Amino acid sequence: MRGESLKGHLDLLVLAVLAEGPLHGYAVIDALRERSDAAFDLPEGTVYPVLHRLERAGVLASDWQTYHGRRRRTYRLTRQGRGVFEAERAAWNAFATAVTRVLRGPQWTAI
Amino acid sequence: MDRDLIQEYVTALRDRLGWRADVDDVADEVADHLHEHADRLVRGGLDPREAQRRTLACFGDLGLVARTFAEASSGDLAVPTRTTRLAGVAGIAAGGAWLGAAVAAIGGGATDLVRPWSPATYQIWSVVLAVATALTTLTVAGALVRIGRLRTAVGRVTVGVGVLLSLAMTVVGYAVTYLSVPLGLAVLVALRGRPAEARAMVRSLRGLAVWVVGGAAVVLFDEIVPIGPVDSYGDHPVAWLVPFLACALVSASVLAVAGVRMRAERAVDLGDDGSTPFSPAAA
Repeated sequence: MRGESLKGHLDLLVLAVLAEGPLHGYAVIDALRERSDAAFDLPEGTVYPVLHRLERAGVLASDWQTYHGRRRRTYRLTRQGRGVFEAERAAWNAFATAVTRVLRGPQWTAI
Repeated sequence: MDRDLIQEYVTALRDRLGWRADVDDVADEVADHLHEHADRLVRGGLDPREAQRRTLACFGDLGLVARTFAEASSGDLAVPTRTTRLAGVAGIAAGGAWLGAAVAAIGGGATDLVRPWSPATYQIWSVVLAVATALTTLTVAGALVRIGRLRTAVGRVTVGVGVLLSLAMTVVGYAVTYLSVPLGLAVLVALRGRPAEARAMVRSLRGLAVWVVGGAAVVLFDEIVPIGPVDSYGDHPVAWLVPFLACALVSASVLAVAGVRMRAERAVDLGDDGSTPFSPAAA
């Protein structure tokens, strides 16, 4: 899937991945790729500004650890973030269901 | 392996994002990501150099990544540019203009408490006020560019208020302390929640909200609890001259500080032409 198509949905996808538990940036991107069967193929570097923006908005929080001598930043959903995720997921499900119904076309029933 | 491509990429990215206060954190985070990815590829049997090439290709072209990092929450660019540096010059000039307005007010432009008032001295004062307000508006517009908010609704309203105010000063300059209240409020709202990396650049401009206090002080001491002598118009010149002078001096200092800071920032060249040596195609 092209990056442009993904842009508007990346926040929700990132929140969905982090709803499972705290992860560092590479693991978030890896999970996105794995859970989408490699359909979501973004330049990995473009996901970090999304993480930073969500943190600024109070939806995510982060902590630094040391891993193999490197500084590693781990992200997690905040309480507010969990609420945002649940609301966004519900809105997306309603939207997707409606779009699917339209694309399926009219359902004729036998008289 | 003769070249450490990851190190070169991180160094180049750090150079392009040098305007961010958290550039060290960004560089460390990106380096951790790249090493993690390359290590996995090496463990999978890939040659280390090829692993680095593939890792950088997956991470994205340097220009694209730098530009994405430069986007503010508004979706606009929030980086120092030649425009924001020019706005810094306007800020320094605005500081001088407000000092000039304070001097002109005492020198007979606003009152005859110190020197005799005349229509000519008043005209000079109102022109200086108009220039000071116009330069202030330019500085605020530059600060809004710096934090990526000029094209938001609140950004446009703030600049619109500044433009109208600049025009109004030439006609009703005597009401400057009242008139500047909306600009002070608009600046306060527009700069609220600014990106951390631009905090130092625009923090001082919040001081323009002093006009709200100044306007309230004039109402209080000229209308409700009058202080000082009464002039031939029945006004209390001390009651509004002192708040005006205080507001003008505070404005002069906050604009000069913001101007110096914006002027000192190096204009960013994001170089997003896709032709960097780290573009996926080249890697």
